Amino acid sequence: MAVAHHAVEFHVSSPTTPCDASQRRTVNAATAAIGRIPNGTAAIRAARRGEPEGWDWLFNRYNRLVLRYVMSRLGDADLAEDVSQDVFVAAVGAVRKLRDDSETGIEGWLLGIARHKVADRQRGLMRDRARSGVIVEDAHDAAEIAVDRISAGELRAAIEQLPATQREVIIRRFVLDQPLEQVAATTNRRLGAVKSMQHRALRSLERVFERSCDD
Amino acid sequence: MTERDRLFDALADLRRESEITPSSHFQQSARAAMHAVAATRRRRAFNAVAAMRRRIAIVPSIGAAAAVAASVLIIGWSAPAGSPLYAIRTAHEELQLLAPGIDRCAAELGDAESRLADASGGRDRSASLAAASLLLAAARADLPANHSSPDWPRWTRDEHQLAAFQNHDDGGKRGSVGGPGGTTPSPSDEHGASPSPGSDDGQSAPSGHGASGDDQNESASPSATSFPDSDDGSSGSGPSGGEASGGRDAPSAGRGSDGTSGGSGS
Repeated sequence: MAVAHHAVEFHVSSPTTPCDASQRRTVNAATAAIGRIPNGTAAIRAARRGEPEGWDWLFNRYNRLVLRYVMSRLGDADLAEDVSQDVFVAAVGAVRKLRDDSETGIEGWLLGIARHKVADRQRGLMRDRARSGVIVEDAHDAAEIAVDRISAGELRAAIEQLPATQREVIIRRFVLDQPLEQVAATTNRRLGAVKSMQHRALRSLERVFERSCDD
Repeated sequence: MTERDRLFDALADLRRESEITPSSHFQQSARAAMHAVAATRRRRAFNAVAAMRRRIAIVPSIGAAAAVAASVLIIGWSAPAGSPLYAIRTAHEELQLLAPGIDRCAAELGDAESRLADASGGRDRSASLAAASLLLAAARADLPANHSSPDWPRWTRDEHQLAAFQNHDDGGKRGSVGGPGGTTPSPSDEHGASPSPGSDDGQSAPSGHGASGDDQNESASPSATSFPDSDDGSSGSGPSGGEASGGRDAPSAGRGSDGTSGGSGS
């Protein structure tokens, strides 16, 4: 399987077809907001002025991206929506600190907030598990390995074991489908460094699953 | 199937699993939460700006009030007796007297001299003279027992000057009361008319009872006899008709209180 087909150009998906009246209203308001604001820079300026249209634009443009990122890290849809909401609320408070208000800058900024929020939530979950005495199931389930297929949960657990920089590259490249150039731009790294990190990350993951097969 | 293929299959699975459609509840609640926080921040910012504006608006008022207060203080600092702001002058002089280690007598004499200067400058003359009289009486109470103190001649000189002014004023009144034909005796005339015997040691001490504290007599001193302004107290032109007491003449004649020893004939 080639890697290239994962690294397709990033496109913001349009809102899904509304299934009820409230969702239709939401989408209509969002569309109107997007119509008035031409780009991310204008949206950030409007948001800084406290105009709701700016925030609507940013939410409509980036909520799927953020949600997908959080979902890939946590693996629970409800939890992912909850954390994504926290991300956008935190963005309201942090918008004045945003330096680069280009599309790439905004994306990197929101994913950075998402990374911190996911880490916070994971710490909270671990605390809760420790308190309630729940034992986390071993990610390397023997039965799944036997069918010669790595489950998404296993992979997620393995990705979480990677260093933070390698984890970010893997998620952006293979879950968010961002090209190398975009990953380099949003993480403020050189292209060569991103390639190298991706290679090391994939190698690490391979080693994890090789080990589990050996076991 | 290589390990790399298995890994890419798993990554594709993870990608598909992560591509969830945002629920309408999520969209609405996230949007509402964002707007609520933004509105709170906007309100807070607005309040901060309003508070800043209020503070800025207060500044000119405070400045104007401070300027008025400073003006009143500056004008009142040397306001002549009788002026509405005279209280400021007396207040700061009182405060000076409260300072530890101050020479009260010298300070009171200084204050009295400033009143005399006001009187000579025509700044509310009668009130200034009255204030000078009170201050000299207070200074008299604080004069040291040692008559060689420089405060003694100073006090005497000031008393003479006060008496001269009062005589001048009294003469003016008499002259005006006496009608057009009346004459207004000048201090020099009076001085000439009542030569003072002077003291033995050349120091004229008012009342000469510094140690005895004959304040009643003192308060009335010096006599109505005028003393020239130039009298520095060492010329022997002590208060007229004073009894020699310990070599110091006393202006006991007072301001014509008994009229027996003044000798001024006024």
